[in-house]
Amino acid sequence: MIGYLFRRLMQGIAVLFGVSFLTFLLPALEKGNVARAVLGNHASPLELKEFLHSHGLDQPFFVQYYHYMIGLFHGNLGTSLNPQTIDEPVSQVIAPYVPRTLWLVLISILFSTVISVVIGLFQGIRRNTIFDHSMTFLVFLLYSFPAFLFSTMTIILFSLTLHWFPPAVDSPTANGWFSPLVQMWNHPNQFVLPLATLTVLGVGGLTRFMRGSILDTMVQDYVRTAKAKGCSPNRVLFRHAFRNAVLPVITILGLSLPALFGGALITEQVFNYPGMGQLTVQATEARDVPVVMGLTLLVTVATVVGNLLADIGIAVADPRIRLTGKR
Amino acid sequence: MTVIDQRPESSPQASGGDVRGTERMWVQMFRVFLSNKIAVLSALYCIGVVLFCYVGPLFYHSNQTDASSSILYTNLPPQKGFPLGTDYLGFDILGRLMFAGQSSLELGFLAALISLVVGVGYGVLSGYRGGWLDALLMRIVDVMLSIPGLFLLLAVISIWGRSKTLLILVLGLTGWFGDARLLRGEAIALRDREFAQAVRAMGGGSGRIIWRHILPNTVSTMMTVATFALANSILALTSLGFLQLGIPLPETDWGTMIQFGSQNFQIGCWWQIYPVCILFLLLVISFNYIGDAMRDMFEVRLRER
Repeated sequence: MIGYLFRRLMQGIAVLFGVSFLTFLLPALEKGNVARAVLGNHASPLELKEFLHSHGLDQPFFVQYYHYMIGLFHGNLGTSLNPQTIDEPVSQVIAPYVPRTLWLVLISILFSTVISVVIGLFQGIRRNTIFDHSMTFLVFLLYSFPAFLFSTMTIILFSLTLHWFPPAVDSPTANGWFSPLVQMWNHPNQFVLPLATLTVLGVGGLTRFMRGSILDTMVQDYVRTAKAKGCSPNRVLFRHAFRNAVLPVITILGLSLPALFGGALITEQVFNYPGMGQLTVQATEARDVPVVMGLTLLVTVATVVGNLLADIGIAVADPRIRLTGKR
Repeated sequence: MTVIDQRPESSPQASGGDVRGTERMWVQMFRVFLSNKIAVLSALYCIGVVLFCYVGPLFYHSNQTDASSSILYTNLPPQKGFPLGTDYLGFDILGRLMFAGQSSLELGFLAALISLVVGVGYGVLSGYRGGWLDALLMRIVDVMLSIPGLFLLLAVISIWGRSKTLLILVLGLTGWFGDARLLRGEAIALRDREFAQAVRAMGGGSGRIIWRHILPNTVSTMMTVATFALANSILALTSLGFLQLGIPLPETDWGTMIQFGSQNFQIGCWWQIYPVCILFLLLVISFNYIGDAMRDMFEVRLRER
């Protein structure tokens, strides 16, 4: 198992090196565009030159990369170019937003896993019944729904027409204080629609996968053996089939992280939730390149770490991997 | 492949390209597609939307560009002259759906084309060459696939800004990573098959093997990939429009319409949001059904092998 996890860890680190090179490369190649995004199109050549010099963008490529990587290891992602937060360290601008998005994503993963495992399990048992067919249709519908359309339509239906839930999460107070858990505890109804949107995003794909996984395991030899030796149907299902069918869900969860973060970006923007997604949109509008690059890097780190955790989870739960290091 | 057995004098070319086998395969695949009623319905809907956007304006004339004269008609409910009402700038919604649809479909199509060409080229090259080049190219794909797509799009837009050409390029060049991986697998499976060895034995070069033998054999994968590429690029473009980071005014797309429609729903303008939402949602669902049906067709081909 150690060897398997070590290989995975190395792959993850290699990916992060690649991404950090990309987040360095894009602005470095297009430093003229970056400068003009800040100074405006009518900046004089002298101003451009001074800007490049003061941000260290006129140095040789590898010197810049060296400084960038040294900074990265010290948690230094450069300074913001947004007029409102000009020259503040990017890490300081981003830091308060990170836990907010992570909470949102984690809670929705929990919900969507429970929901889709239950639905997928029942679909697998009651195959080709009316329940199975109607669920397949419903899940396909949810699977097709783009995040922005689903959130818009839930707002229109549940918030603006039926007035059940508020259409937005309260903005942070004037001093910028906003704790997702406190907010969730005090105003749970503000979180119903955003969490529902993110959960539905996950449920579509997961349920389809879980149904297939159950159907696959039910025809395996060990299930037939269990039946033949006289296990009760429930014991066959839960002791023998379910445990094997549910394992790959962990991997799928890890793989669905990029889509989930993309969905969180849209959801945060729609429900005015002050997380990394909303910050990314604001920074893109303000053309605050360092902040956007820092956020992209951070979200990718979260994705890679999530995938690693999924690998560890699988390795711990599945003796075939624990003992042989192969899958 | 019984067809080939009936032709003892068949040339190696025929056994590689599978000329008659291919014809039969296409007919069979087409029949599988037609037997899927919902997929046929979805295909008809997509064709309908394309006709609506491009042929519609020939029969239904409306002002979509002159904001100074439209400003007299802002936020009108459906009535004579404006069958679906007007939007916040006073443009007719029915005509707006066609006008916005044209840019959504055009940009989506061009972006999908770019991502298909790049993805297929990259994947086939990587799989066919193998070795260190394959390892390097696939690690690059690993890196790109672990960046959430929307964040990558916004990262690029934050540097280069947004314009029609840039959006096409950005969407096209950030959408092909998964396709490349699929096509690489196909190329690896095909490059050492007998017909490729036969070409090599007769002195044919790599270019000939790739162009005449590997690519034709991946056509059905490419069709599935193309369907999803088109769906994905239209979806990404609409998401960007919804975030107001898409095509800049005076042009518009469905995402922008949905954004402004949802803002104006609060002042009671339901006609600005329902039509575009329904049209777009049905389009996305149709694309997914067609994609699934394509995959089933693809399975038929795998059974053939």
